[in-house]
Amino acid sequence: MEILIKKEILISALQSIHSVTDKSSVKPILSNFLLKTLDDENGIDGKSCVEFSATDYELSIIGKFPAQVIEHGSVCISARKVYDICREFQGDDIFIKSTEQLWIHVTSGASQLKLPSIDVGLYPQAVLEDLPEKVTTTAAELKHFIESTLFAAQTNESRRNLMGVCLSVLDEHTTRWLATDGHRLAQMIGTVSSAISEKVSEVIIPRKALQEVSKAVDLFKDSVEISFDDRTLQFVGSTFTIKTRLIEGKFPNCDPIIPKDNDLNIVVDRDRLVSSLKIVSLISSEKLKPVKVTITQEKLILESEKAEYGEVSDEIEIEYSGEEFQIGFNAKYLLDVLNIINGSEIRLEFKNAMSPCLIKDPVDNSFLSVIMPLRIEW
Amino acid sequence: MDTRKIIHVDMDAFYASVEILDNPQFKGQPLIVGGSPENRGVVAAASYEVRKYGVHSAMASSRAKQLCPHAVFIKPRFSRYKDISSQIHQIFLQYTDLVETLALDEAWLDVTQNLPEEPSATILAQKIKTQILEEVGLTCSAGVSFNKFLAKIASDEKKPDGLFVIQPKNAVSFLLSMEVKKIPGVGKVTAKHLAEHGILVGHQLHEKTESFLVQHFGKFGRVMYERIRGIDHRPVSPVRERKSMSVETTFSKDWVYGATLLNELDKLIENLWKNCQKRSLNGRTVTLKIKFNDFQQITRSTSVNQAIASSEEMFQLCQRKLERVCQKEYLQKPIRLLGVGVSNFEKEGGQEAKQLDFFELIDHSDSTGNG
Repeated sequence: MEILIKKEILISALQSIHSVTDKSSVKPILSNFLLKTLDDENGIDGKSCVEFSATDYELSIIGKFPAQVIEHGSVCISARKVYDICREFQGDDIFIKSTEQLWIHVTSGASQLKLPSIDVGLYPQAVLEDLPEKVTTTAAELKHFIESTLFAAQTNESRRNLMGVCLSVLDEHTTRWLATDGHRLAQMIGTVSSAISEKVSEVIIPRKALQEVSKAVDLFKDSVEISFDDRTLQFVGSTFTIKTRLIEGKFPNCDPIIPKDNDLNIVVDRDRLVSSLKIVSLISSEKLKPVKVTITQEKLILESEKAEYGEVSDEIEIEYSGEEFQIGFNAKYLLDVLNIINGSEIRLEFKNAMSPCLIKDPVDNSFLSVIMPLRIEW
Repeated sequence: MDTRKIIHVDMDAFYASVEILDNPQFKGQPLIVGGSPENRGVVAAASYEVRKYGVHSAMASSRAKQLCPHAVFIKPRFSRYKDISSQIHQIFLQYTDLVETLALDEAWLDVTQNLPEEPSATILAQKIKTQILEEVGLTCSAGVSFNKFLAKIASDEKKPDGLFVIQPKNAVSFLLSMEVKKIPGVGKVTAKHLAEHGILVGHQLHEKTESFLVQHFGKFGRVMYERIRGIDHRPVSPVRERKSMSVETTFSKDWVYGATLLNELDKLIENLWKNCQKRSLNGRTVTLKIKFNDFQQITRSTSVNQAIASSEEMFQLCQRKLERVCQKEYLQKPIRLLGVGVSNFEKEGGQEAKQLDFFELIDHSDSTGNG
């Protein structure tokens, strides 16, 4: 194999597979990646190119990147070594050539480097599959769906089925993205170009895969086809693919959690609420970031509760004429949701201090979030 | 560190002894508690009569049957052993708070400071043995020394029904003549490995340098280096946190629901509340135990989202349950015993606030039983 590749392309390609190769894994071979040339037919826009791929069995990332192919072939090398070294090269072009004794010669300007490589046959290659269920959407929309829900997915292992986002196909153009960690829930109803589900209408996509998709969204360019069965899911773009194993198990039915009859409702200025919550959370070193919210006639009062560094209270004007009540929250949970909603106002629907609170954009119904209160001793 | 006083108590053939206690006809018989020899079971415990034949725990039951064909096999009843074990644990707690449970049948007690204020650990060990025999009906072996390692080794020295003391001045000479396989942690593999280096007896281990032992046995080499010199600084730590706290009282006269019963409930709760406060225990579940005049016993539990904040709150929760039991479920049935327990303690230094969870159901479990 012999190729000439731009340094910046090589670096960005290696960054895109970094999360898969970067591990002091029990299987050292997984710290390598596979670099192979593709001919014109399989290349980018009818031109030959190189393909970077890496897998850790759970997650596989495969990307095509432009390069000048001098001689076709494939190599398997340590991703970390190549990345660290090539970043130091001063020249713009990097020339990579393999020899028969598994040596790789990397040259940039006057710098020459010889690295050992691994027999390509030993590396577990990621293979794209033809999976029956298909959802097609744009890369930008996909990123939006993921970011609107992933924050609410569980991070610890106590409930494995919550460690991802549940994707359901509702009809030909509608998908539901849903995540919860038991304390909060986020649901996005996403309109897509097309959604076909025959057998499997609901899957749980692991956090890590979604984080990678979100990070690499530019590499997907325009349209992304999400194809899946009950075990595997692929995000396939024209030159970039992320394939993941799905989380086994059933996602809990969250419909009963989403409040339907919360009758204490307010609409608050988003930015005003965000800045106020930020101050409260800055002053509290506690993990729970407790904030005491009092809803009273025409006023929403936020107070820090037993904060470490001092006390803070803030009042925001609202339209409200119902009965006065108090409720506690983790300020961070509220901020996470407010960061998702782009509108200038936020609608909060309460029932009482012990019941879940529904949060949404008053004019956009595609997104909603539910937060369980924090029980604070007043 | 001042010299500590540690007792290691090891029940003699625990499961088998419990079975003999409950079924005296097994006494003197070769008894094996474990799975059946036909169904690939293993020996969980063997009475001393059957140990003579070479039967030991973890051996396949079929092999045990070969060794001792007339042995009696019975199935283990772990819940019963657990009950007895906690009964014994309660005895330990009368001597010291520093009780570390190793297994159902084994525990370390740090009696450097002890509740009876008895300066002699040997006398304490004897008292504990006697009390276990009198109150539970089982024998045990006790080891007394100045650290956990030596106390454990000592308890094994005069089994069954033994008491052995290793004093600081005798420790090293005792260890030098001891077989190294007696060191806890030295299993078959390490013993073989030691033997390959000609180490069978304590003095042979004592001769080796620390670097030699670390080189060949890793971290455990360092442990052995210290142990053979009688060094073990591990504290006796009651790893098992207290799970519940309860009080109860048997009335001199049976009562039905009314002012007297509620007054008794109030007294119990005041008592329980004080006990919990003393130990900074904040429970979320309160359990009411009621024994009627016909000895039928029931319990009723209720849980709240966050630790019960006051004795008044606890009283209200219990009163509601008691009222329901007396006026609905067991109409005016006379009560001879009333008990209240708290459990589901919040972690120490309890959080000021509690994040509520969608999936966490508030548990209102009730149970009924005869006792």
